[in-house]
Amino acid sequence: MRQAEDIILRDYLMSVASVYNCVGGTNGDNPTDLTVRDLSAVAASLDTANAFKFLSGKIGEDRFGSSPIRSAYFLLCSTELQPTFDGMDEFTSSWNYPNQSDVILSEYGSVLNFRILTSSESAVEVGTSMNGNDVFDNLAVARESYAHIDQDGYSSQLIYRPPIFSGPLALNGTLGVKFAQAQAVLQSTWLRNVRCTQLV
Amino acid sequence: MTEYSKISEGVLTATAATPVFVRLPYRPLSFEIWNTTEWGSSNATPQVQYGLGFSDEAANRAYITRNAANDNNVENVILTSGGFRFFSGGSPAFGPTVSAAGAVNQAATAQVTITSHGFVTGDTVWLFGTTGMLQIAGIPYTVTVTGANTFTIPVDSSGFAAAATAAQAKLWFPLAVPNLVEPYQTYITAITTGTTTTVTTSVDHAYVVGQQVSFVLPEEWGMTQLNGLTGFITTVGAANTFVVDIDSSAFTAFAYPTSAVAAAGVTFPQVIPVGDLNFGFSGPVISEPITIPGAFSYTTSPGVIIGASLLTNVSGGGATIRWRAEYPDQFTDDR
Repeated sequence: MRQAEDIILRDYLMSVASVYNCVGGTNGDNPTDLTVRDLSAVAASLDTANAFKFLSGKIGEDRFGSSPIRSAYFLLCSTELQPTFDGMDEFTSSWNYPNQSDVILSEYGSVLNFRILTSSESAVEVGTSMNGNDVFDNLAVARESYAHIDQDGYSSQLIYRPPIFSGPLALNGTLGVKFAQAQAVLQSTWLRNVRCTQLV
Repeated sequence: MTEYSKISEGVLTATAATPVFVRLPYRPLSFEIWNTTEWGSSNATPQVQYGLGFSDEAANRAYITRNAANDNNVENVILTSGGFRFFSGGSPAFGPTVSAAGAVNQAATAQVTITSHGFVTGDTVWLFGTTGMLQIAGIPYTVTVTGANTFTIPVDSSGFAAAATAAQAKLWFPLAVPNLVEPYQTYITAITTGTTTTVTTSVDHAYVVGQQVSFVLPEEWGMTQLNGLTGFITTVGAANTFVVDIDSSAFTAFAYPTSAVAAAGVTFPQVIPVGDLNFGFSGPVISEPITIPGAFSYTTSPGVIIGASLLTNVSGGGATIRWRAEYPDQFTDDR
């Protein structure tokens, strides 16, 4: 549900965010594969712009296999990059957080100052890297960097018409969502499109 | 039953060989055109009188009826270039990769040679794999077609160390319809310094006078003094150039990195627009009664591009094209 709103926002951020091409990887492409060094550079640039982090850190707890988590921005990524994160030294799976109190359903884990949210709907530019490989658009966002504004005083409305109202033979029902929204960038320096390719 | 079929019709005036984008609220399965201006023509140059395309077939394909040369008898022909292209709108979409052995020369306006590229002037095309000239690979360009096998891009490659080989390209649809939102981020291919600064972008930027923009200039491209600065556009020249009110007289010159540096990974120089109707707007002609500071306009749409090869107008004055789009309730594929 509400997929359309998410995709509109995704496309909007892709179109307006400044681009950072990953350079720390070893796959010989431009952008390279995503590395801890790249995420550190992006986090530093957001910090330098005095961006707000979304979440405060998680203090360590006495639980086997868990580790403290830094205060964090969000990195919105493709599910196809999950193996890349699994291979990073600094990656902490969301199941290894000290507790699960504020873990988001789509949260895959954490690297440095980023909490990683993955989705199959994340944008992929097919075959557009320097070497013609797929480029993944990972949106690094700080709190209040952009806004989603519902128009006309309402959010999305679910509309369902039972089959009997949709045709004389009552063969098909109708299910739809309507909404009116606008997007705005509140601080463009708090937003990055971190582009990377896969490690092959 | 046809309770969910979608049918749209319309009429437009087309200039010969100039593609037209028909915005629709859906991606149709089929699209037809009738050229009523050239209907019954017996001109020496065959005039397309009817065209039909299907969205589940290859892009640019069209089934047409046209007159035979110097005859008003008609002939049926299948076009594989310059036909119909169907769009879903929204998500980025790309055409097929063309060529694995293209070339880019060293010239003030770089020319790309790719056999039967199939692009038309104004298309947004991603270039990649440009061995020997990797500093231009991996970003989109608005192309000017100079021949069936050649097109130019707004890059001065005359100072590069070598021509490119193994160039590949593919069409990018969002900018063809145009980008997903306006104003949108663009890449920089040239900057002229002075008391004001003239910027050339890799794609047509669609910015307007009064637009506020900021710059991202990674160190590999020189002119790092411009990095992070914000200015207002004072003049829009060609579709891919503009002048901004930043005095860059004392700045280091803008320069491309070498191919080897680019191969190690670089971020390209960019223009980042500040959204807001107050800072200029070039979106679709629609009523905008409410101004939201910082807002951008969502401009993409599903629809169909009627390609250059379908639009003939030997009579001049613009051809009247009637069109019809359809998305049926039921589509049965028994192949």
